[in-house]
Amino acid sequence: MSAPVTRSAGTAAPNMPWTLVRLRWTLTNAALKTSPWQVVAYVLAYLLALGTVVGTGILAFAVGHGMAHDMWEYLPAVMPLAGTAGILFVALMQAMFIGENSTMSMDKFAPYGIPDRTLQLGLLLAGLTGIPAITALVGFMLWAMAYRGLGAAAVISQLVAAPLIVLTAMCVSKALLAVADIITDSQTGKNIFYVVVIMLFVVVAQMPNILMINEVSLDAATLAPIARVFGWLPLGAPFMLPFDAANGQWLFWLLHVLCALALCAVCFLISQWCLHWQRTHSSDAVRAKAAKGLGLFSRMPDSPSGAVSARLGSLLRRDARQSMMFIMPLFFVVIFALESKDTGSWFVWMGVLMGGMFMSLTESNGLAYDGQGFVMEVIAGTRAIDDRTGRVRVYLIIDTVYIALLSVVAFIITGDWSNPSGLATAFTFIAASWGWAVASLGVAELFNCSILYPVPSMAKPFTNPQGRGAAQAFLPLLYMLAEIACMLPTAIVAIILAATGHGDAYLWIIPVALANGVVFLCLGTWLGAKLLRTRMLKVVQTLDSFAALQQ
Amino acid sequence: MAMPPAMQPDPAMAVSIRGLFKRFGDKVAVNGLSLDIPTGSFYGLVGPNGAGKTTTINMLTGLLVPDGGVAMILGHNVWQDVNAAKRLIGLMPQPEQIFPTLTGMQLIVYAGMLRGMPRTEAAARAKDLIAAFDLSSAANIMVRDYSAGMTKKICLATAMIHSPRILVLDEPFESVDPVSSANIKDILVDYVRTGGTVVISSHVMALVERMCTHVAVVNHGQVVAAGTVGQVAAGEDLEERFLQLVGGRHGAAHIAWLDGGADGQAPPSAAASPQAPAGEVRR
Repeated sequence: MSAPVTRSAGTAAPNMPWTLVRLRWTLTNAALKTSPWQVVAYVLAYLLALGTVVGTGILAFAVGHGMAHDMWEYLPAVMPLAGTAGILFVALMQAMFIGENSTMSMDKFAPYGIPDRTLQLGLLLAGLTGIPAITALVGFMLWAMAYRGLGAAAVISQLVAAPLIVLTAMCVSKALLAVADIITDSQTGKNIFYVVVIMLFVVVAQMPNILMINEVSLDAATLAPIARVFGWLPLGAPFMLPFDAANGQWLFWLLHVLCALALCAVCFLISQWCLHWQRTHSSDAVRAKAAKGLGLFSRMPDSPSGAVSARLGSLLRRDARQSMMFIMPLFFVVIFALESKDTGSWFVWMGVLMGGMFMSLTESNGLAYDGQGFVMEVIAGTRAIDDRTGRVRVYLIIDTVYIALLSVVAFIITGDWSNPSGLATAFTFIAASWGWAVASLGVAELFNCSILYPVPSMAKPFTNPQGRGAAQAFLPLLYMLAEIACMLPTAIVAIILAATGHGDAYLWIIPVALANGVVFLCLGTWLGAKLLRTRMLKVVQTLDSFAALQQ
Repeated sequence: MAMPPAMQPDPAMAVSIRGLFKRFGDKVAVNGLSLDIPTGSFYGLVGPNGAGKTTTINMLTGLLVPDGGVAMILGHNVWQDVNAAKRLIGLMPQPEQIFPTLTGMQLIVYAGMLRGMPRTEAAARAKDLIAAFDLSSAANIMVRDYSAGMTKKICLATAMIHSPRILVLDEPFESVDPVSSANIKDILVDYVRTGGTVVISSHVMALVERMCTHVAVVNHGQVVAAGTVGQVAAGEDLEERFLQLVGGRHGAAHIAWLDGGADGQAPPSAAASPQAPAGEVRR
């Protein structure tokens, strides 16, 4: 009698966790084939990883060699604090940009009856064998050189701590994402979660600046008591191992290891529980969403481009993935306001200016956010210019209204409405912000039909198409360089005015910035339409391949 | 160099294809396919998976550039003015090719306005289509909350909103309940009666045999038989004839480990007859 699962001699049962690791890399390699830009992005990501490793090595060597001897007293105070902030930063980054790989997500494996623990372990290992984790591991191991002055035990302890730190960061990130996936079972929940994560991210990222500007003392004596507390918290504990070893406090060493391992175990169990919960509960709070009438379709122009505008506007209102774009400019104003103590009110207006720059960031990949729905336009034979005009109309309205609102906020913060000089400064920045926003929009209309990269699916905004990380890191950077370049005419006029001693004539920047914005908007829309007309079917093909990555 | 007369597409046909060719890497998906679809016909396109049906439809409807050959829609060369050809066609999008966060009503109006229809007319037609497809109670609900069958019906409605001369539908009845299916069939039959042409791609032979006036069997990127359903069936059951034309059916292979779990014992019939002759299986 043979049991159904009996295998032929010599065929061993597959090691499931390692099978998942192999699957991860197979999928990553497959993502490379979706577009040549993915290859470029990967090469740059690998170079970045290499640079991080080399940079860490050089810094560690310098610190350990005594070239930066004055840093030694800081190390016990800085490492647990910086380490904790770093792990939190990584977890928030994951939630905001990278997410759980959608192809490696648990629901894809549901039909195979893999035990929860095995599956969770496989997903964890798959994460640990990725380039970011390997880079971090090598970097932390090289950091051991920084502790040469503390003795061999400290160096060896850092080598032990390195995998522990990476494991802790990975477990915390996975647990955070798993919990996020469960608590955000409604669209509103997803939007709120996204906004909260981004707020935390910006605050964590800006904390050092805010502390410095507000003259909070960061000397070793001030930090030491805080660091001692954080050293006993699970995120900071693995960073204490070299110091415990250097001081011969082996009991503390052991307790710090246990502290970190306990957190990993708890995070693993949380992730496993979430996995079980997702399997046993409906994935969505199924409440049919109703909308009376035609909505935006009755308020946009009665034309194909109006249809595109109405559809895009409706989509943006319901798309958690793009919420970040709408919150980021406001955060710029708030952060710049916090940092404007010593610089004056113009710095708040810099926030409005920077906000303008970021308003079309997601539109630069707008067709990828539309997804395969874009095919409806192709089926209908919609003219490319109608698509571009429809899209531009929506963003033009958003940009204008948003910059007006930001300006009101900035006026309230600065009080610049009360004097002519303040008003002149304000309107110069407002004009420059609007000009930059619409010029960037023009650039975005060129980018989104030529350089696309995969995005998460709308249903699961916290998941990540396998292999998206590299592209997402690089391609928006390319777009930002282009939008900086497109404002060069305004920048040149500003520099000339300053250099020729006509700084007080800066009001001339207003018409230049407005004209600069309008010209690039028109140019971008027109060229974008020409490009889309020739690339329409290629775009459809690319979107199909992205959709396959999301599944 | 001009095409030989036999290779010229027929402008009198609703669809006329000559020597259509498409290669994906090493694989030839469509291999010199030629086909005429008469105006006012209900035409079924059938074939096994990977036969080249969808590729042909995509090249015919302007979604995929052919490597060679000509596709003509009502006398218009598709690839000479692709948007003009698209205006004559109503191609049903696949469920993943629509915007699920729009309501059913919005989605149909969107499809209409994209084709240049005035909003009021698009809205009025959308209401008619929604009623015809039994979706009135779900008109203002987002499509993502629809069942698979309802989504299919909305997709079909978006293809019909502009009253095209030719409807191209890929598996239109998949997941659709029998009542809605019957209603859709009535709508399509009425449409054909008024001079419209319907091209459907389907795997359900019974449906093709019952509904279609004409059928083409596609295999390995070529048409292996085409004509009226009666001509292609040649006096046999269409499904049987289809199997003869495309081949590939073989006797039930005995898979030792696929035993239903009854203590490892294989079912008696399979154990007794490890490989039934093909003829017996077909009967």
